[in-house]
Amino acid sequence: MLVVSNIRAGYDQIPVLHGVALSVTAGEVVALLGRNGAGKTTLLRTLAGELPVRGGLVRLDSQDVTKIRAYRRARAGIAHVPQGRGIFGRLTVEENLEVGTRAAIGRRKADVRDEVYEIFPVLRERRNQLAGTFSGGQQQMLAIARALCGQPKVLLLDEPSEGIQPNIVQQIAELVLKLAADKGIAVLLVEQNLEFVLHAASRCLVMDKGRIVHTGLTTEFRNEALLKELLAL
Amino acid sequence: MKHRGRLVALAAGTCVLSIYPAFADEYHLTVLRDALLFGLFAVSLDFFWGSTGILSFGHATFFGLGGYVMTLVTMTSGLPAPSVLGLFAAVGAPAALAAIVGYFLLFGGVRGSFFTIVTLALSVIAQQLVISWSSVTGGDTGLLGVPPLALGGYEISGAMATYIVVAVTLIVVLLALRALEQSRWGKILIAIGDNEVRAAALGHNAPARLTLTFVISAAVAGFAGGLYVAIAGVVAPDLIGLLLSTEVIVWVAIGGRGTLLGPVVGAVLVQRAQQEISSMNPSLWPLILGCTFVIIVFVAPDGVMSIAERSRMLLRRRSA
Repeated sequence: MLVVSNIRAGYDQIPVLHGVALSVTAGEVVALLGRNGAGKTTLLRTLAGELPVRGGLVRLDSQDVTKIRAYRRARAGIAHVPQGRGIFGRLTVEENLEVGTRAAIGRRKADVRDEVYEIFPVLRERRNQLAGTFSGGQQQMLAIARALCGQPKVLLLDEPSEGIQPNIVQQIAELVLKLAADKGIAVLLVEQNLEFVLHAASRCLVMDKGRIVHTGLTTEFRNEALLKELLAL
Repeated sequence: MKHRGRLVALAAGTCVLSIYPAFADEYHLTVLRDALLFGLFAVSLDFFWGSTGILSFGHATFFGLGGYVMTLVTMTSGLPAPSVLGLFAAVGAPAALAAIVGYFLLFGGVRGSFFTIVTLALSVIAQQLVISWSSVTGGDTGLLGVPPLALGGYEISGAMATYIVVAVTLIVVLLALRALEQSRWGKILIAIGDNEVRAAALGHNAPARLTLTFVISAAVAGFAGGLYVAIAGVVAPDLIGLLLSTEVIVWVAIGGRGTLLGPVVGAVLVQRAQQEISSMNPSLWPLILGCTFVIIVFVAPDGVMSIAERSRMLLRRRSA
């Protein structure tokens, strides 16, 4: 589904990623781990097209999306839910979702908003409420729901558990797992919350200083000694 | 609730405009008519500024360009239906200019205060240009004797006829822009204004949307300018310059940014106040305008239209 080979990227003159390669297949949830500053968020932003790729390739199915701009990547099927969620506070829930449907136009036919409301009943109850008045957990759900309205093939999630109360974190982890399985979405997840990762992801990649330094199955990361070594937690 | 309130306000405004001629003499009718034309101009600015949050400090460029183009077309003898052609040109020329300026600025990533400053410069350039190119524009004095509107052989002149044309045009444009704002288009603009990177990540081509919105805004401004010169019968550099660009911002800010109807109210109120105060003491006006502007920004940052809403909320809070 998503294949990334040897990409380099960064901010202006400062390189952050020094040749990252990874692949995520349909229906798979892959977690990116690593200390602060390892380049995890930069990697997601680069894959979403927010930052230009300086070298290497990004492929989605058979399409080369390395050079195309963010809005075209979204239309090709890459959805990005950033840190801090970035919901539109001046719009209602319904309007947020409507704005989210653009990425699917031309690629898929049906409007899936009703289906998305089935997954998030709490959003249906509050569909006419301004999104800016939501709590962190609700905003996170809205951000994921909005991304789903674009019917993505790949979902990039940046710290979905950040600033959210523990019982909701559990819910979101289950949801991510279910979405990948039911809809065949490839999920690439950046997450500090190890519980979340152990619950949702099947594979983990560890980043350090702009490179992937370790790859393994999630089960392997239940080993505390290894975690200490890799993440210096 | 908010949307219904605005619709009620628009209906109330329409009622006021339709009964006003019964009570006003010819002079006051023409005063309101001119104020409404500037109100239409204010609406055009609000359509862009209010939904995208990007301020154009040179909007008089488009209003004035519409005025000059209208003048030049209608004063050329031998054209069939000069008023219609003139209005088309008054819409088309500013739209084209906005497309060019918008393309370079908005696709180039110029936003926020940088956009404001560049458009301000545009207004200054435009004013210098019409002053120095006197063989075409009449220089400092402008051009007198712009023919009145004529449609199908009927000349639209006189206070009543021009008032009706202006009022009806204003209401139609308000309804059309309102419909556009309420549609999916408007939601996407708010989303882009809120967080452009996010909107792009959801598949929206933000620079293209912004440029098109800027073009529509400039077209409406040009249309207002074209109507204005045909009705006033004169075009002059003060229709294209920095002062008018500033005034229109004040009208929109006082009336309420992002409300469309508010800027009309702002334009009418401010111009009315300007006439009253200037007739008492001509040097007092800028001082009072400046103070009012500052007070509005502090007391009712969403404009005078929001005062009713805010006081209702205050009452509710007190009773609760």
